[in-house]
Amino acid sequence: MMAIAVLFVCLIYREWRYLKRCNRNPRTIRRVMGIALFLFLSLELLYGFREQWTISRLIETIFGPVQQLITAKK
Amino acid sequence: MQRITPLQVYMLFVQFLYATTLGFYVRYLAGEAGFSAVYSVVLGSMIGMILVYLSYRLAVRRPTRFLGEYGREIVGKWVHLPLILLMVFSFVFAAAFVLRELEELIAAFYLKDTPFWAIAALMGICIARAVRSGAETIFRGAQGLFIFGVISSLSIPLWVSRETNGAMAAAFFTHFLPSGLWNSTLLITTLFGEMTMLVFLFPYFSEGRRTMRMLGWATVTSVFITLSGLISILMLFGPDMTANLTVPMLEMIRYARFGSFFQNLDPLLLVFWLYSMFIKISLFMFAAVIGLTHAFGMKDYRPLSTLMTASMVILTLCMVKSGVELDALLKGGALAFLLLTELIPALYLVVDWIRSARTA
Repeated sequence: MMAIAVLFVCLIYREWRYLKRCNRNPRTIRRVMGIALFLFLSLELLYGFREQWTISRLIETIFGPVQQLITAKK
Repeated sequence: MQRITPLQVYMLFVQFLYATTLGFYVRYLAGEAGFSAVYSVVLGSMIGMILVYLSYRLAVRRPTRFLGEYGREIVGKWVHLPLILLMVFSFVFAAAFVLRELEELIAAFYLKDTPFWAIAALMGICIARAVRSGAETIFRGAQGLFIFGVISSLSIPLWVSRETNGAMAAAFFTHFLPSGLWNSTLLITTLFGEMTMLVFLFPYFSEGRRTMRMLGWATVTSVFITLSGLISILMLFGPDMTANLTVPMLEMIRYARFGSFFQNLDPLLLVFWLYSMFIKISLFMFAAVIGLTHAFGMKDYRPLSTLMTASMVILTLCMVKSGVELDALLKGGALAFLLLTELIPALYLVVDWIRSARTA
C-alpha cells in the first residue's frame, strides 16, 4: 500500500510539473489532479481489500447472470 | 493528427486480433467446442465485424472529431458520461486481463522466482512509454515487427506438420458440438469486436474511408493465422489434451523440432508474440486515456497516460486472487461485460440516426 502511495505521489508531482510547464489553465490542472486522486484512492481500497473483495467479483455479480443467459448449456 | 496510414491500420489490427486469440484462448476454444472451434473462429469473426462496422458507421459521420467530444451532442451529457466511463473501464479491464495472463505465463515459464510485482512493473514501464508517445508511435511500432510476427506465427504449424495426426482431420467434418460452438463463437465475437475502439482513434487515420476495408483484410488475415495455429494444435494434441494445457501455443512451439542449431528457438519466436501483445495492451490503454481525456473536456491526453497505465498495472495485481480465477472470470461474466460495452457505439449510432431523421 505504501508502494502505491509513493508511486502515485511521484507520478502526480511529475504530471503537475508537466502541466505547469505547459501553462495549462487551472481548470485542466484541477481535473487531472481530481482524476489522479480518485484513481489513487480506488486502487488503495482495491489493494487493501484484495483478500475479501476483488473487481472480478463485481463483474461476476453484475454480468454473471447476463452471461448465463446468453451462453448455451452443454 | 491524421498521420496513420491504412497500411499501418491493417498491420496493427492483424497483430491485435491473432496475438491473444492464439496465445490464451485456444485452451478455452478446445475445451468448449472441441473440433468445432474452427467454425467458431469464422462465425465469431463475422459477427464481430458487424459490431465493428456499426462502430465505423458512427465514426465516419464525424471523421475529424472524437467520440468523447461529440457523444454528448448525441445522447446528452448525463447519459454520455457514464457510457464513456463504462467503455474506458472496459478498455482498462481488457488491458489488465491480457497483461495478467501474460504475467502468469512469463512467471510460470521464463521468470521463475521473480516477484510478480517486478514483472508487472517492467511491463508497465514499456506500456506507459508507448501510451505517452501516442497513437502514431503505437501504430508505427506495430508496423516494425509485423512481417517477423506473422512469419513466425505461420511457420510454427509448418515445423510441427510432420508430428500431427492426419487421421484427426476427419473430425473437423464429423464432430459438431452446437452448444460449444455457440459459446466459443461468443468468445471470438468479443475478441474481434474489441476493434470497435476504432471510434476513439478515427481522427488519427489519414484515409478514414478506407479504414473499414483495411479492418476487413486484417480480420481475414488474422482468421487465417488463427486457424493455421488452431488446426495444428488440435491435430497435434487433440481437443481434450489442448483444453488441459496451460498455453497450447507455447507447447506447440516447444514440440517443434528445429534441428540442433535452432534447438532453443522458442524464446525468439515468443519475443514477436509478446511484442504483439504489448501493442494490443498499449492500444487498449491509449483508447482508455483518450476517451477519459475527452469525456472530461480536456485536449492533451499525456497527463493521464502514466497515471492510467500505473492504475492498470496495479489492477492486474489485485483483480483476481490467482491465475486460475481468470478462467472462471471469463466464463462467469467478463465476456458479457466486454460484449455489452462493445455494443455502446452501436447505441450511439442508433440514437444519432433517430435524431438526424427527426431533424431532417
